[in-house]
Amino acid sequence: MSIVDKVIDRRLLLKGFLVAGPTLAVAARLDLQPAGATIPGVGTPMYEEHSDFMDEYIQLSEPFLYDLLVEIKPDNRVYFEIPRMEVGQGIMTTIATMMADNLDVPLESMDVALSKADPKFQDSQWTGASNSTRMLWDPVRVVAAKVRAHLTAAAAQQWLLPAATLRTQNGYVIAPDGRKLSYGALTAAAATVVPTDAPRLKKPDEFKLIGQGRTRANTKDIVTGKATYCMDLTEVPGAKPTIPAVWATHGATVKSVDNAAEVMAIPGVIAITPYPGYPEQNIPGGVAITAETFGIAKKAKNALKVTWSAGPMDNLSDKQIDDLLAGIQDKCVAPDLGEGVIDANFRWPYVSHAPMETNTAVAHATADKVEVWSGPQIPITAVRNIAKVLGYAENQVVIHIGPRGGAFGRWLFHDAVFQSAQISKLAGMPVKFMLMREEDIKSGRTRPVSLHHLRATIKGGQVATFEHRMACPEMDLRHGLGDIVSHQVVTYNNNGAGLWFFECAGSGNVPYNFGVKAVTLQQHVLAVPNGAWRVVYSGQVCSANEILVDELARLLGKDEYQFRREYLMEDKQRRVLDMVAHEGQWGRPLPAGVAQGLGFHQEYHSLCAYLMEVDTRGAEPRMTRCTIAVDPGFAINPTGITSNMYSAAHDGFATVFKAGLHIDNGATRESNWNDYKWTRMYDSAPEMSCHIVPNTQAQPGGIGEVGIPAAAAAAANAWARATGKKARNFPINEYGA
Amino acid sequence: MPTINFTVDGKPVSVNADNNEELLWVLRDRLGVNSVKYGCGVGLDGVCTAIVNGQAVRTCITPVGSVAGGHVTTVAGLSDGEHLHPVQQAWVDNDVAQCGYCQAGQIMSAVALLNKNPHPNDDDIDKAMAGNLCRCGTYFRIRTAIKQVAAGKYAPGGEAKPTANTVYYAK
Repeated sequence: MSIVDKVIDRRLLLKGFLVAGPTLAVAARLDLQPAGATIPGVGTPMYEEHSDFMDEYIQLSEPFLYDLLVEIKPDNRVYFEIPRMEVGQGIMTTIATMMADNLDVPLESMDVALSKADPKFQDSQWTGASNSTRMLWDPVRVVAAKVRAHLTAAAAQQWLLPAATLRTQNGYVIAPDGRKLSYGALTAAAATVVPTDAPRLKKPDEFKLIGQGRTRANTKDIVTGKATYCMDLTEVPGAKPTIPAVWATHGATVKSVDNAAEVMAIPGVIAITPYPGYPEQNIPGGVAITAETFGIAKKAKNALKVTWSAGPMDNLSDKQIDDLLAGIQDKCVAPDLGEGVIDANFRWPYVSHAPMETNTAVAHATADKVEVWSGPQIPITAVRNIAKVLGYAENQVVIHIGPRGGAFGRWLFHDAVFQSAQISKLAGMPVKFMLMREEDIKSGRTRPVSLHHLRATIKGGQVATFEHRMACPEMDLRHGLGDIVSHQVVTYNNNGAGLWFFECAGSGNVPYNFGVKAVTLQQHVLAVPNGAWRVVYSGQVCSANEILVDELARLLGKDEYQFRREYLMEDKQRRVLDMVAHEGQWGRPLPAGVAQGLGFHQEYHSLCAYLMEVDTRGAEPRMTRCTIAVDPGFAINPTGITSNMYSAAHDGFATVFKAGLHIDNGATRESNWNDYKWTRMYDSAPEMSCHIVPNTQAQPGGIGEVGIPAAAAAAANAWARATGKKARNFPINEYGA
Repeated sequence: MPTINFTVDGKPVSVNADNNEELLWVLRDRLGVNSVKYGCGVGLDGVCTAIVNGQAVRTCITPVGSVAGGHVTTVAGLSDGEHLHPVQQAWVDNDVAQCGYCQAGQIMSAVALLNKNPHPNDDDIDKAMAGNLCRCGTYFRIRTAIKQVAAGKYAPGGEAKPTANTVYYAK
């Protein structure tokens, strides 16, 4: 049941309009009312067969999202702030489309912005866990309905007609006789009118924009070079280019800067500022160099001599870390039942999120205020940490949120937001702060390395047991879930939070009838900063499961597609599998060394299957064709869904074949794209297609992450079928298997 | 510091900089030209690609002295007001971009490719675009867009369809 259905159930009523100047500006709140008007006509109940972590979270947080800012301007433009971050997943376009359709205004009349960090959103202002479209679906519909009710009531008053006889279309209220008044002309009256009729939610069959594929809102800005990323901002004219020198080994701190005078003498160097970071939250300190240009700052950084303390893991390299993890890993316990058993040990390495735009932030700290322009996924935690550590009241910390050049989970933590504020305060000047690629990879957060022991046994010709024992460095979830309380709770028990998330998110879910199933996680604290990476634990766990599924099929002498059909538990799962097998021509003849591979995954109330073809005949494996089937629940922008699914194909391919970091005596070995390798054009398939199942529920599922495990598995399975080898140790291009 | 003269997107500029300063940072930090972006600083991801005297170059490893008297074109210089270059139009129509951060460089590499080879095959595209990394994985749409331009689908002077206006930061 969605929150809107609960609204009806509990006879809640929306109220609390604010009047900003002469226009209707909505900031609706849900308030408990004893009885009275209700909001009719809401869609069917939420798909409930599987409850995941986000369901509970949405129930808790969504009420705060009704406080959306929508303002109808006199010129009939609509200003709408989205309390989220845009990182390329396309939510500004998707959510603007939802609002425009439900408001009955043209999409092109919308001016869409991202909200500043705002405590009024409580625990609901965070971009992650594929929650944005899911969580905003009901609030946008309700707030839009409320706005339409006010505009209609204002027109009714003017025309002396019953509101029920009026309709709204294209930014106008229209009378039965065809008279029209623009929303803009009504906005002043609408701000004060009290509608007598209850707001009416639009029904899915009334949607005009939702469900149509469309290009992203800022695509023209992007292709003409006008799109504004953090380092393009000119809001703080005195903010000078600033970059950090970072620790020699993870967790090390600055002992001394040894040649500051020499470096300050380089023409164009403005300041050298050691800063402590916030070690309690694993936000690294370092030495900031401020200069007239980033080029000069880089030269200065290369000339700078810093003495670093020893780090807490200087005696640890990959081998010792693996031994530590193997030591805490749960053991598989199922006995061999005499008809076959598969034991498999998988290892996924550390991988950097490495968004194309590195960590960046513009900050200006003064005695009584600090302002930062950046894009943390969870801004409230950033406000708290900056206030607490730098000595401000929370209302003296202003964080402006803008779109970013990628995130992939990297911005769940607000490292650069905090660091830039700290440096600005210490240096006494505004800064334009950026990590260069080397520092972004060497000191940045990562998806942690992980070991996986899987065992499956056969009895009676069937899979009887399926075990998965994962061990990894403790996932740092201290960013919390958008609010201060969970931030504090997770800080108190981070390991427990990880185990809880692991269980409640999709990672612990094995969607097959495999008899007795067990998926467990053990974690060990290590000083390499980490953080959730697109699809969190499932990226490793569910990819490994799907590789084992292929091997189980072969052990039982079955076709990998038919085996999945047989063991999947629900028709809707088989629907995406059948679709991908049909569209991708499963079983079509291919030359030796080229093969197809399948992968299936479901999470965030979306389901998908990938059929990837990989050619292993060249120097490195190449994706030659990729077919995707996805059930997104309810499709708002099929074009955007397709982009996200293609994106996951390339990420999955990279983690299987190309990408991996190494730890040498406490330091990350890799530093740039020469040694941290990612999918490139020559790896990418010349043939791709994405097939979307017609709507299967009344609400959208999450779509930004669900593709990763299926795509990675499809890539590994295709490679295994092409080569006859077993995929175990990633990336395959490094380890061979 | 010497004064170095060249043109950026058709406009003459004059800048005081060391000859060996990277073109990327001269453009961004001394001239305020933000239509080139930083990605890696060592010529490995192509984010900073611009066209200098007809050749696609990585501005992050190009000394500004080497472009003295020359012509630098960034993605902002491809369009003529509202009228888009065919490659830009193909990018819009195929909804190529996701986060968009690498796309200025991708577009400039594609333009340079098509200028030299108006009918590239998949192999040609693989080679010409090998140096341009995209973390969102937009490669298939880039490939499609290049092929469509090669097939003559777009005349110069197209305009993007109206859509919602993006205000980058809330007021």
